Amino acid sequence: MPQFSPGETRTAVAPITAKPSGISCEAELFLGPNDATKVASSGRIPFVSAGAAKNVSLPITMPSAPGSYHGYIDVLAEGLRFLTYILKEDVVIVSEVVFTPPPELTGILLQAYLLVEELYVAMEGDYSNWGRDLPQFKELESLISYGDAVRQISYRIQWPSLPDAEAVYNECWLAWQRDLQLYGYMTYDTAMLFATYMYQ
Amino acid sequence: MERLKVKMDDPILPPGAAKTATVPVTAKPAGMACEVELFLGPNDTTKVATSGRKPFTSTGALQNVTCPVTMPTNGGSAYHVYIDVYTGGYKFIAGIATEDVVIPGGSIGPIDWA
Repeated sequence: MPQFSPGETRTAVAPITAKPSGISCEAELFLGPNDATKVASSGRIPFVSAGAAKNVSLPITMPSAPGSYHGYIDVLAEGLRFLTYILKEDVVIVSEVVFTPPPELTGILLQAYLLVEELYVAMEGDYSNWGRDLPQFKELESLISYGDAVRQISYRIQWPSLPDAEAVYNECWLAWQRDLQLYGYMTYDTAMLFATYMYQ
Repeated sequence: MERLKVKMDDPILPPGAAKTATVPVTAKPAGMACEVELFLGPNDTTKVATSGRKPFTSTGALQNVTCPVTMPTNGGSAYHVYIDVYTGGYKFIAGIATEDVVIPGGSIGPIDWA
């Protein structure tokens, strides 16, 4: 699935076969939640049909809002839309969040988070025992209880399947804060920033 | 019989579209039972789409005759447009449009991001 940054300008090269040859055509690439809502568009790019496949360049500036967008291509002749295409893969706009731990996120919470991240990576996709045999787990267990350590890595494993940052916050971070008895330790906005960062 | 040139605009039409051509015909003398047929094809012996013969009575002056035609469903081709006018089964006027009807078609392949 192609991933781009907000506002990034990219060019899609579309092989278009328009027949018969010699007719004045226009192609438009646009992104949106459906084919009636254009969040970003190349505008109509003119070309003359060749009667055979011809590469048409469609420059487009990506939407500013992160998210997943369907991609559509319309081909028109004298205003008549005669070819339509939906990109096989959605375009994903990924926010470039640079996470700097906020002042209130210090001490055990940050150390635990970093250890959970290290542990998650070290597990290399083997979630059969929550990484209990790995040194990062032992270190995590020294900061928080064994039960909490198992819970935290369980939460981390499920993050990728959660639909958005809000769900990460609700499903994982609220629970984590409760587990660590740190409920209210950080603000909702900070937690959302943290959750957004982690979800990537 | 030599075909007369008949002016035509808006030649790009969607596949399968039902369209009605308005054909200005001057048939003389007035009062004749006539028929007009508009058809599309690569030549005047191959009818890819046709209005069939539409009856009208000649007025001896210019009159508009409507010819409904369903466009070919296969896109990607241009077709000549022919008009024949008959009386008593005898073709006495033959016309060809100045522009072809274009039924566009084609495909779009998978794209690459540059």
